[in-house]
Amino acid sequence: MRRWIGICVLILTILGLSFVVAANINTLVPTTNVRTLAEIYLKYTYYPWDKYFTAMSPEACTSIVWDFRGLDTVFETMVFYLAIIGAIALARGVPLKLPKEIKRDLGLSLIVKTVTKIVPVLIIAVAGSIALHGHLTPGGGFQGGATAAVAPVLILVVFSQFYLLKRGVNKNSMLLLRSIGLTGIGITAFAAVLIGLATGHYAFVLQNQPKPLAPDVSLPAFVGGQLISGSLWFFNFFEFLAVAAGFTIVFLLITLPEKLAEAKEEKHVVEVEEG
Amino acid sequence: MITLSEYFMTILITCMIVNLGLALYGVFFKPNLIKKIIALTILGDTANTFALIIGYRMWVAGVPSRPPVFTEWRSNNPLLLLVFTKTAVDPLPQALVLTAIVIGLAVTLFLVFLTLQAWKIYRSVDMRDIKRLKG
Amino acid sequence: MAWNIPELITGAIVPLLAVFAFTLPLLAKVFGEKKFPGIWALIASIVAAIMSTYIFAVVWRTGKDIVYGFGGWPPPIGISYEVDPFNALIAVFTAWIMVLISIYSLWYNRHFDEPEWYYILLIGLEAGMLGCLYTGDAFNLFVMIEVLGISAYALVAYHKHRGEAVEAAIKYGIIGATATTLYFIGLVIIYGVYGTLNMGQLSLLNTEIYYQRPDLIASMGVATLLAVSLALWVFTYKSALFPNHFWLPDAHPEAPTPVSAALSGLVVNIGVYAVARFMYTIFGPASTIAPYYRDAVLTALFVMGFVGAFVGAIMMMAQKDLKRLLAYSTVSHTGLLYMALAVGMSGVPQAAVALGLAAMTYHVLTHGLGKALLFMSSGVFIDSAGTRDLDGLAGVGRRYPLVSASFIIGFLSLMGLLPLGGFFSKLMLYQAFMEAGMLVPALAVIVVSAISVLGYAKAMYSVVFATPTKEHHEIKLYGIHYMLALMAVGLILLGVLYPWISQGLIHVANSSLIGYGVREYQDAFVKAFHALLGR
Repeated sequence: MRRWIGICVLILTILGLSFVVAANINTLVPTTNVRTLAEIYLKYTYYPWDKYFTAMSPEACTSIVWDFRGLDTVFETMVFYLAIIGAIALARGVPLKLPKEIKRDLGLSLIVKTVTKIVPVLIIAVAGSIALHGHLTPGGGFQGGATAAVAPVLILVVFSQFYLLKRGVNKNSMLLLRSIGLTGIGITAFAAVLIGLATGHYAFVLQNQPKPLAPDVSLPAFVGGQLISGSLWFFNFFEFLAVAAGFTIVFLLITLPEKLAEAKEEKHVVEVEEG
Repeated sequence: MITLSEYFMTILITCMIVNLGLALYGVFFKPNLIKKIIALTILGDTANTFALIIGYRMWVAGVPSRPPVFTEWRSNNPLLLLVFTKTAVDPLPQALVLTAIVIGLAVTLFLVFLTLQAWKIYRSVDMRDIKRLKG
Repeated sequence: MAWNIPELITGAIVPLLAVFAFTLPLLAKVFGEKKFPGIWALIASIVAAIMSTYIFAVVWRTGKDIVYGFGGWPPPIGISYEVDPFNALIAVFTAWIMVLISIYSLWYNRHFDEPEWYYILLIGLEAGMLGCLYTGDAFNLFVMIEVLGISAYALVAYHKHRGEAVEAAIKYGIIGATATTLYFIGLVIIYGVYGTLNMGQLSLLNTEIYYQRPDLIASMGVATLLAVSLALWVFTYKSALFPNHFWLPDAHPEAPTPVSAALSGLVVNIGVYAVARFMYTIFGPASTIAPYYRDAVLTALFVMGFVGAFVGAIMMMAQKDLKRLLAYSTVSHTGLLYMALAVGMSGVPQAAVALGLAAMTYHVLTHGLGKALLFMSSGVFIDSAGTRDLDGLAGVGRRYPLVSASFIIGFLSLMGLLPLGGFFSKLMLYQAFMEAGMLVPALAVIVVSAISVLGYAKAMYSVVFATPTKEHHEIKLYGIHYMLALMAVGLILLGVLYPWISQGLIHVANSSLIGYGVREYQDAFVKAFHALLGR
């Protein structure tokens, strides 16, 4: 019975949505034109002829993500941050510490280990490049950070978790790094306002280039002849730190050896919490 | 007769809509939590595909539409910018999808941890075994 | 350039809360991990409360909407916050209740083994709520709903050793995530059809199409109807409107008590606010879905509210768990809120609509304050008795006279007794339905109140008046009972000041949601667009 209701709902959903798409064939199915708003974004993403109305980044997506609609991205970062905090809260009381004795032969074979000693360096270099060129080419802070987090995963799988913990890559240090990255994002978001307060000029939250109502405050688009697109480079850099650290925490928590986690858990269960 | 591009677009949209229905079915009617979460990610990906279709621009005279990256920015040539504006796809849905992907990832991540916790308590990820609450 | 302080504060308030949350782990390392996080969260909530009060004062005094374009971009290109009296009022209320909840959390601190995570999530919850309220961009609303959602899921599962808490969070989380994804699909449709995501511009486009391009209405109406229904699903899910209420009686009781107060008293209102914003400001009486589709949607909301009000009131009688009883009461009151919201169908005189929306806002205030008070005071009793069961709680209230008095006042207000806020908000609801010519709903308000009296009386009797069956241990209150008493006084004031409050709320409804209020919302958008464009 329940199954049949489900199938009926499924068919109705499909029919309804296809009807809507069919009824709005001109607007919901792509044509050779884009919407007016899209043309504005494409035109003004890099438009050095009007310094009051441009994001100064040739990558239209990055300029939307961090400049035109920067607020969304700040709070998207916050969603990710809160999800990781929630995960840590669910794993609280579980020690991410080295056990007293570690068996020497943890992990995979010597060949794999030797290769793995080289590869993470390359991964992090590529990730950094993705993140720091986010305002010029497809990519950006989140993508770079996600790529960088592959390195610790590789080490986790090949060497075991203790290898990372022994070298100081643990929950606390990663949380610290993450917090530094996020604080950087927060400061960059308020950078123009802070500069404005210091120099006595009006400025906007999340402002990048000068604006008609705040012409005196801006973040530099070029540094030493290199295009950094003002706040975009800083956002990408800090997001890179935050995301890489965040993913590392998640992987550390989720690959925790189960026996170790539960032995510690049982001590905690005794005290029943009443809501 | 319809053209080849119209034909492919029809297939794409049909698949997307059917996918959406299947994902919804999975979320609501599969008892296994992991399968529910997988259905949820499929739903998210379908929504993202839909956004990308909305923002796509069909090829003009056989010339492929460009990604929204103005690669000739060094030239400082307004004419090239005009060509870019007339051939690039809509960047806004792509930016929205970026945001939605990260949010979907965050929610999935948290739900996976919740499922892990449920498994630690109940030794099962099946909703039929977990039902302790009356609702 | 001149400093525009009100605008700057409007733009800074929610990002500032994000900064508070971001810096907490770093500062907790420096200042200590047991005490500091709570104090930091309290500071954050007080800052937010003061800023939101300032914003409300400016909006109220000048009578003009504040529009803040982030990054200095004109609205449809960048994201903007748009504040009118309606969302400014609910935001002030939310922010101040959050201050009380933060104070209560400090008292509740001993239940937490690692409090910093809890307080980060609490700041996240507040940022999510204020962001949902202030935002003038439909996609930003999606992001803020997710901020709100994820902190709510994590807070519900905070007592992670209780299987029920984890199960409730899973239920809440999976369907919640599905609903928000469908809202995203709705937004994509809206962007596809209208080419914009800004609420002010959407409202403007709707009006233009309605009056100037009636040929477009037929095709756009279908798509818009689908988009609006998908959007309304997530809003009604967040506010637990029947039949989306299934998660609430599980999730609210299992959360830590301060969070229960925030979820029941405040988060529910966010959904109501968003539905009001969608159905009145954006897709109002002059839009592509008017009049038939809009009436159908409002009727559906009305019927669901009607059923929810009864289901909540009836289920309340069967509960043995104090917090579950309060949770079902929330379901019932949400139903009443949606009944009031649905009053604006075509053919209803505008004065009646204004009265209905004012009654809804009034009920949001009295219910939110009353429910927060009830959850917080029941937290004291539950701690003292060590159980949530009504039989186990028998007579525990006698040990704490001031808390019991506040507890009873809270219940009497929800019941709708004369000098208290709850009576007048229900009276206003009744008047609105009578003026709109809806006799059945008007009677339903009375019948629902009468049914719910049984449930409330049971709870009051067993907690305060019954003879104690066992010895309860004394717990230290550290002055928290004065705060609860203050909230009870607030409820009395909400009732005593009825003539002024009702006038003010009718003004709020008129200047935000209907008639010239919608025009002002659109004008504020246009003005901000030209000002920020600078040409």
